[in-house]
Amino acid sequence: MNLDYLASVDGVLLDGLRLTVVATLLGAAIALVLGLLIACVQLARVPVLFQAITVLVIVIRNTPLLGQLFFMFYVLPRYGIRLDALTVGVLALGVHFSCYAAQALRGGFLAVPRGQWEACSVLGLSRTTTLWKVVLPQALPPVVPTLTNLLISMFKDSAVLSAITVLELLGTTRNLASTSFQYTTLFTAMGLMYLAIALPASLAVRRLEHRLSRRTARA
Amino acid sequence: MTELVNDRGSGISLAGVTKRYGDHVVLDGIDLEVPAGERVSLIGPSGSGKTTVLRCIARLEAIQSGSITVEGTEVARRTEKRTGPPAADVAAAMRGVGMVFQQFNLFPNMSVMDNLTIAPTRVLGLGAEEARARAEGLLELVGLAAKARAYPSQLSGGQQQRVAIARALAMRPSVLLFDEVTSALDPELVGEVLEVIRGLAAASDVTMLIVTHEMQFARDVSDRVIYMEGGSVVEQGPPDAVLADPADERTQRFLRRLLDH
Amino acid sequence: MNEVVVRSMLDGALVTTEVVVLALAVASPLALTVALARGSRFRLVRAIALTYVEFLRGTSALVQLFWVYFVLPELGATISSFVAGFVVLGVNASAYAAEIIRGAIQAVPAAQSEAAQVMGLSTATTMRRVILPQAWPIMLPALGNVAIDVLKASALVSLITVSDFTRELTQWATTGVLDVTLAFTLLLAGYLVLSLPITWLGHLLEKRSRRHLGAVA
Repeated sequence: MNLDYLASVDGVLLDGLRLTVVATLLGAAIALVLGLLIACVQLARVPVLFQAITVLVIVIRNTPLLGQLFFMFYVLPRYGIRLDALTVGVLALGVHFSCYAAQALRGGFLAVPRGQWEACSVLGLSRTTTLWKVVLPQALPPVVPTLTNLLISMFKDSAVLSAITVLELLGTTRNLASTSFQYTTLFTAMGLMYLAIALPASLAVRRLEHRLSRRTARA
Repeated sequence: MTELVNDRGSGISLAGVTKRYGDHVVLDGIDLEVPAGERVSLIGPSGSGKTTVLRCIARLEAIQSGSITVEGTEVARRTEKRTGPPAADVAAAMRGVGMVFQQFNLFPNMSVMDNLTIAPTRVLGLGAEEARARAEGLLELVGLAAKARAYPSQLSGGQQQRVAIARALAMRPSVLLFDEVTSALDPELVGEVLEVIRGLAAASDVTMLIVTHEMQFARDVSDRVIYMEGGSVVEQGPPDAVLADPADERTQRFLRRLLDH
Repeated sequence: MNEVVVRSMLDGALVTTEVVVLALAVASPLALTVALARGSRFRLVRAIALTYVEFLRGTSALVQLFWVYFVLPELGATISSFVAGFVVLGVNASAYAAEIIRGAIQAVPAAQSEAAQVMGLSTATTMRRVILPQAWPIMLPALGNVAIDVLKASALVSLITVSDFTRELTQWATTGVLDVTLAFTLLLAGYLVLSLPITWLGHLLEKRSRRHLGAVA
């Protein structure tokens, strides 16, 4: 490890990390909204849309994120959709992880007892009120650990954005290495930076899961 | 106490109601007239279809033939496939129907107060203050005025069920459906819930349809007792007649078995 | 699409298949070892196993690939990018699989190992003959997902110059030989086809594994 060299580029690496975090958070926002929509379509079995989304989910879950990224990066401009690399990357992350988020959310919805829907129906509450005030507040908390794990996965997997020229942490590292040849120093520092965020985060999720399972055990 | 419920309507009527799950017939062409203000208890073995009668009236189940009328409005008929969002007139009629469930079904994410005010504010369009005042009065009625800020998980089963009754009353229903409301309770908590319902029956003229296994309670509170078996009405009449001196052999067998326990 | 392109695609698909099969071969023994180590009597063994799992799950397979690809040569070890590819993917997957196996072992009722103990069976025999056979159907669905994840992650080896399915198609598309829409649709379709045998095998194993445990499952 060449610490003197590392000290001279730490600002650049931190910029890369910052972009990784930004891409992750934006991707997560898309994944959550899209995941919620997909879960609703699947639960309500909206005709046509349901079949279309089922096919889409199968494709997305069984093909590489890198392939989906390339697809959007190279094919979309052909049809007049010109987006910068970061936007494409964020979209690809969001769409990819929305399928996994949808599965978690669907589980959360299905875990809400039928009686809750029935009580709402008998009280005359509208579908929207039922969903936002009664069902979602009960469906979301149990799936928070799963969603947080997805967020951590997305943080780590956002490294593929370097393949379409986004200068996030991995891209920045490769860039620096290509001129300084400080491979060991740079790639080790990069790995440690990913770990520095992902490890405490996954530890926190474990704690949360433990707490939640204890609470449900008591209830 | 007269402000507890709506004006007397015209009650409930079921005509030839059939409910099937696949090949399994749960209700076999049920006819039932419950005039406004009457208290009717439905008794019978499990699987006799008595709970399904309530659930069909509450539009929680679709029916395969016949029709159900609440307060003069037909709220269910055979052609309907799903229990989707109802038409405006049906929704209006259903606002007069309250239901109390075996499992309470309070909203665990809301305080007792919010459980009582959500429907009046969102469905009836009451102001926050008015809904609050109404809820406080009802909590007083069920003896839980001190628990307004508690969450359902902090209450005993009996207290939760009393809150559920108050929640149903907050809509000022003209019809109340009680679905085995004491079956999920520990024995020592049954009394407090039945006491609330007795009080309600004495103080108001709300129409009540009660599915219960508590024969003494059915006897005290009802104007009429209906014995069901296999999705049909076997026998009905005044509580003393049906419970003390049943005519049908099946009713006799059912009541004898209850006594043995 | 001329013959050269088709041939290179098939070659790429073959390389991808090889990477996946070899990665799974690396992952399986590692995962079982680490899973058992996670439940070891010895604190040190448990700590080492936990560190292994957490470190590998703390970074992505891509970051690990680049680290091995660029750093190992500087440390004096030369391995081909192909070997680096399947070894890294295998080691990475073993961390996830180990946690799944451990969870499945824990899901087998404690009474089973107690019963075996009372009968005088050794710990090893209990694990091999009583616990693992019952944990197997529990872990299978999740292990199937790990295998699919390995297939998906195998595309990453294209970024360290392995001529897999992704690299072949991307090259033809970016050099203008293949229409990009066609190329990347073929890319996704190809992986979908490659995932079919894994899904199919997973279902087959699941069905077989439940043959005798019908009542338990």
